[in-house]
Amino acid sequence: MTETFTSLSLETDSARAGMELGLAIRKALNGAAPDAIVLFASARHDHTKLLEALAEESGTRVIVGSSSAGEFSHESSGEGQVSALAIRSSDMAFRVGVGRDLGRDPEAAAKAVAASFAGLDKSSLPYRAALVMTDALAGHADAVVEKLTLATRGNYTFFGGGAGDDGRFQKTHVFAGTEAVTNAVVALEILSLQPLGVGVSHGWIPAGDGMRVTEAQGSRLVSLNGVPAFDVMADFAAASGQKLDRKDPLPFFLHNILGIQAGDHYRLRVPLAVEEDGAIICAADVPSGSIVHVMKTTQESAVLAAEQATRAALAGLNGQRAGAALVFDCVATRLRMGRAFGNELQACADLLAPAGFVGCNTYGQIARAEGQFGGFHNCTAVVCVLPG
Amino acid sequence: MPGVTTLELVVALGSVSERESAARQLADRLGVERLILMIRDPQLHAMIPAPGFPQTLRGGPEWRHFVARCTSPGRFEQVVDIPPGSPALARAVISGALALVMIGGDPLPAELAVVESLLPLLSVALLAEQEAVLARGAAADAQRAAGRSHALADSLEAARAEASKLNVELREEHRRKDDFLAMLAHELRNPLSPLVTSIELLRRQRDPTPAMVHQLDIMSRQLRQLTRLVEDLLDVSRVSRGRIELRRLRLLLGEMLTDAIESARPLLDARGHSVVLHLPPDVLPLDADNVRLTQVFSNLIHNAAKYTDPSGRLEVSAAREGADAVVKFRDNGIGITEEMLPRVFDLFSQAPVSLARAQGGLGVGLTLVRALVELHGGSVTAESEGLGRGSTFTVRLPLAEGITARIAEMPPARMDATDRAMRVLIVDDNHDAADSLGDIWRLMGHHAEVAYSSIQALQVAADLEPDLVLLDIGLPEFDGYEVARRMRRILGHHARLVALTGYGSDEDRRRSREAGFDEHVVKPASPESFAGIAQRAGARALASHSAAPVPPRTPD
Repeated sequence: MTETFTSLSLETDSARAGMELGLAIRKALNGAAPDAIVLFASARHDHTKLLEALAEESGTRVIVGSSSAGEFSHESSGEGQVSALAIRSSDMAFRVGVGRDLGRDPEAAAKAVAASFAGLDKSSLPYRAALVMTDALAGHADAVVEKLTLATRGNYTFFGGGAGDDGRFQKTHVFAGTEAVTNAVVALEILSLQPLGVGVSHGWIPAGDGMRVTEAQGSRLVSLNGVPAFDVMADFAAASGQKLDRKDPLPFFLHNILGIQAGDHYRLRVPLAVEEDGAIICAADVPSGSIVHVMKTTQESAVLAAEQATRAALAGLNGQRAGAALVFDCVATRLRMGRAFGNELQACADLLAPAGFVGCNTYGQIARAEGQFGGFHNCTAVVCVLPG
Repeated sequence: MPGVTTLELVVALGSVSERESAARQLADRLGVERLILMIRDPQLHAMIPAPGFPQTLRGGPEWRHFVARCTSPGRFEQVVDIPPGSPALARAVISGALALVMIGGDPLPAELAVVESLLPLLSVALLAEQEAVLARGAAADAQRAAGRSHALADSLEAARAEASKLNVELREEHRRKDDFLAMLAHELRNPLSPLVTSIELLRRQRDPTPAMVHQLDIMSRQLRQLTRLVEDLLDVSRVSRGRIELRRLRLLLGEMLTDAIESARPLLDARGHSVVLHLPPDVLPLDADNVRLTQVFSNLIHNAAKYTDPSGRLEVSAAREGADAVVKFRDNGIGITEEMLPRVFDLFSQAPVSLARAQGGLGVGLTLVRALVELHGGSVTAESEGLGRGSTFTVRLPLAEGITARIAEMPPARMDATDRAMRVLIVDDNHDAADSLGDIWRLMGHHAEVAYSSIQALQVAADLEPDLVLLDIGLPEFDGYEVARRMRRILGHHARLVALTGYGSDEDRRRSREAGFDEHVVKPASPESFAGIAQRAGARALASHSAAPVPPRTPD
């Protein structure tokens, strides 16, 4: 049996928010302590105070989550809030893993996370998954998912995303227990008697011809077809009647991202900033020699993508009832869609009902199903449904 | 550069490592400020800097416009802004996939003519080089992907190794569980012996009241049920450990089915079931183990009786199908659900029934049926149209070739043998078991003495010179095998030694035979079996004429 409780708090006092959430969780679980809590909190909060108060009142230190760039539930959404999912289950087992010093050694960080997993040994719970939240600003988000895949022998389904900081791109935190840490990756291992459903989808299509990446260093895209990357985007903006301000490029980037050709699909990369030499900083690596397109989307296709991800996640339950869900989407999607982002959340809520969900806007999303290798995405809706 | 011809400089452009340097020298030779080679991307058809040149060319919109025009063959010129804000006249000569771009200055016609004459050749070389660069990039991507795949494969291999280790551990756990089951069944069976004999003793009391007879009947029935469960459990454990060996004889299927139905008669009658047996006109011979195959048929009939509501109808039919004998057990009972059907033969699987209908059982009977049928080279299947629609179990067994006479059973002992009082020694460290057995043999009119240890047994044997020794194997000090060997030395072959033990495997029987036992009886021995034991022992005593008659005793 699995009991879940979802909540969204508007309280700005961090300690009070943690206390109120903890009390609400205990009340919803008839006084019992939850087995695990997933928590997303705005960068405006004092995360340590929030986590300590939550642990104290809820009665569990099995807490995993991150700072975020927008928090939401099936009932509401906004910024500066705290969203939480509490789980109490006789059919699931939870463990918290932390990998530190991510920027220097993503492999060691991934191994440290995997070392805390119980499912690598003999387990009576056959389905293995983990919520993974990474400090996106520490970089290596792609690598850490790959290394986690290796460290867990491809046996885990991963979902989650990159911690956010309300779109400031200055400092992001991930949560493990009562600790809020930077330059780290955290995971909540979920071993389950029934499968979890994970769905992933984006609604972006190419807006122009492919271009060769003639120079790039990691996530720093220097040139396309021999032309500085910003100049390429500026020409595209001019040709498509859009405005691109070099000093404030984000409004343009929210609607025009890059898609790296990868077989029959595109790996999305969100441009975040422009450097002096015209290079563009992206949310994840862009390989030199690859072919990229400027990508476009519409609000309708974003809603459709969220629906597709939710349907895929529900289908993954193998006929089990949905208990509750976690939803992740890009901060860029929320900023681009504005109020219409609510339509996307409503689409998820309608499909998941009567199960509720909580989630947040992240800097990159993680969704790695069994049989895949990489699993770090941008501008993509990721939905994970827990069986009820 | 003095001494280097224009031709040599153009040739040097063909080398990626010398290209940028050669381009600078050639620009000087031609009299222009800058010379750039652009090559058409084979996949995208856009002009990009040739390898060896800076891959990012920082120009303004005019420059980008100029580069976009370079896709068409020919020559043209345009003012460009590279770097931005620095206008200069650019000239392009496009040959094949190659664009020679000259910025600033005024190229010397004679030198340019030499360069242009070689451009088609240079274009082919650079295009090939560009394709090679892209191919190398693709190869590097593929190599990275392969590297990842290898890493994952290594990781999976490690997982497989762990799974293999886990498998070994699980097998070991399984083996320990089997051993535990065997021990459990054995321990459960030990107390059954004294219970059987005690009930028999009570039954032989003078003038029992009808109520006592009724209670004794209940106790006997329940004990038979318990014994049967324990036996099934032991047999499953033996099968899973490969410790059952068949003693094949030429048998007739019809007779075995008749016997099996009769053995189940008490349960069938108790539940008011009717049974119909259909046999073909011709005989169906099998090379089979009589005990084990009767056990199979008996289990299937018991199963049908258990899962059919009172006053049900059971049908047993046998037929020849090619080289096989096919036996069907049909009932109009509670049936089996579609989900349950594939698992009915699995160990500890039972049809979910309400408590009111539950008839007991461990879910081992059908597992044993399948195992024993397969040991006979046959198969068993279950069919049902669902709950309330009855079930059919079909056993298919290979027919024996030809019809031969059945192997003769042991000839009956002389009836007068049992009439003779014998000296009987009972040895068991379980006092209750020994004492109750002693009582029952005395009730049968024999002189019985009991011993509770190996040493005591040898002492009593030496004094008593028994005709019959019922000897438990699991004795302290030294075991029953050793006691038997020593008794043989004391008593010679006059006495009949019977091993009375909880262990009944073929190996156990072989060991008891080798130790000098005449007979191996698995506990709990039924009172009926004592008659046979007495008959055989009496026959030997009579034959040897060595035992002095002992007056029969009556119960106290």
